[in-house]
Amino acid sequence: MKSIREINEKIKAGQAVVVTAEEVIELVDKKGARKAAEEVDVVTTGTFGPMCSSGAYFNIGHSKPRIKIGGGSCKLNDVPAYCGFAAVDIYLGATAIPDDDPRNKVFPGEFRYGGGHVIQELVAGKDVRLEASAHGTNCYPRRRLETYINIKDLNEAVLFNMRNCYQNYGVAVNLSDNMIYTYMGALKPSLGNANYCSAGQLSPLLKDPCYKTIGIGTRIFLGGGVGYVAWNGTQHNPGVKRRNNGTPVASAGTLAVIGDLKQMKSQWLVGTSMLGYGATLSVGIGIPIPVLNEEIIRYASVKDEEIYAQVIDYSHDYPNMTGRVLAEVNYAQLKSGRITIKEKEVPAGNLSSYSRARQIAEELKSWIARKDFLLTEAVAPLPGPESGYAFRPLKERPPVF
Amino acid sequence: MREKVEEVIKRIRPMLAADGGDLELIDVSEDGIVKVKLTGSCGCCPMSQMTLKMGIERMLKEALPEVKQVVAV
Repeated sequence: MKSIREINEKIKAGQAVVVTAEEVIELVDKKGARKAAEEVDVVTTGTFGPMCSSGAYFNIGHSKPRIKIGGGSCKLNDVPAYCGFAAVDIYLGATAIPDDDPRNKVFPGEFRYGGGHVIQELVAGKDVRLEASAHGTNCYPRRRLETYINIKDLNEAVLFNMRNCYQNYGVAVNLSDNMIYTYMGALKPSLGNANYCSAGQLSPLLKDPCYKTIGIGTRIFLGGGVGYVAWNGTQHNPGVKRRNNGTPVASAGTLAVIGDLKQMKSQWLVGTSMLGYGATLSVGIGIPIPVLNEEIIRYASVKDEEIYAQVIDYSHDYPNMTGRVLAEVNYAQLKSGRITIKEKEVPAGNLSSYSRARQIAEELKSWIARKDFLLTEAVAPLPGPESGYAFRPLKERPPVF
Repeated sequence: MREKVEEVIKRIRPMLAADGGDLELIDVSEDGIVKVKLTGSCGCCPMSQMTLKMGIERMLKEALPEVKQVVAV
């Protein structure tokens, strides 16, 4: 048994043993979980992929004369931002797109520029055009503002993503006769391809599947800077079916994360366009797992062959929420580039970049080795598998007139 | 023109290789249309369209203004 405090002391002394979520697999295979738990202090994880429920809020500072953008409207590089707050606080969502984007009018739309791209440009230090209009008040008389903003001049620029880091995700296929365009990428007809989206054995919540160490307040690598777990993410669904190794077989836990955008890097926050679907932001996240005991390293050493995902038809079953699962496949099969569904060999591709996930796990490892990053105790746990916390569908009710 | 395109592709190739992908230059037309074939993991990658337009096409256009479009075959 080790405590986070003891691990932090070792980090400060430059004596902590840190391995990535890939390296720990071989180590546990070679030495056994007990011995490995004694030797290793921290396991670093990583993931990099499109995460739509992302965005950033800004305080742009007050103009002379003052303007109350709150309650008015605001655009950043023509992308609408939400301004239902106080005078100069705005929130830009990753999937927002300009009003004049043709969307899917000429199908499939390209969605070349949206909120995620604006965030990437801001982080890269580029000027972004701000255009706002307001109703004008006695204390905030100005009604229009057109200017450029730069991240270095903003009072606050904070990445606040309400759902990131999905713990496992379905594998998307298309059983119909037509090409379809989804948030899981383009899906060719008649099981022409299978798209998945996870770093598998490197993915943070798959290496701490029952949230024994990751909780509210956990310090993390976020977009190339330091961030924190703020809460469970939206649609957190910890009660799904799990295997003996703790990993869920379907979408389960999620994280809401927050961090100072000014510290982050555009390499790890990348505006992304999904053909026929929309714009989004690809986010890089890495989470350290403190090896407090043998159980935690056992969970952290789960490998691709032992993590399963469900294959779902996105032409009918997903949009209509039928709940039908076509097959279960493991990540080793997915990463081989070919899986078998309904006796057909189907090429498989990953929306999430495994090589980038590996870079993040290595980067976080180097931060800890350099004593630049200490671990935090969670201030509260995430709702766990036995909590009864569940993701529910919308109870739709007709309007009453 | 084909040689210039090949030079730029040499710089792009390691980025694709990091995720197990590659590309093959098929044709460069006189009117600036570059045809490529995405291979390796790029061949079945859900992000290949984005890689093509936002990565390969953007880099080729930046380096060679005479390139008008990159299409996958």
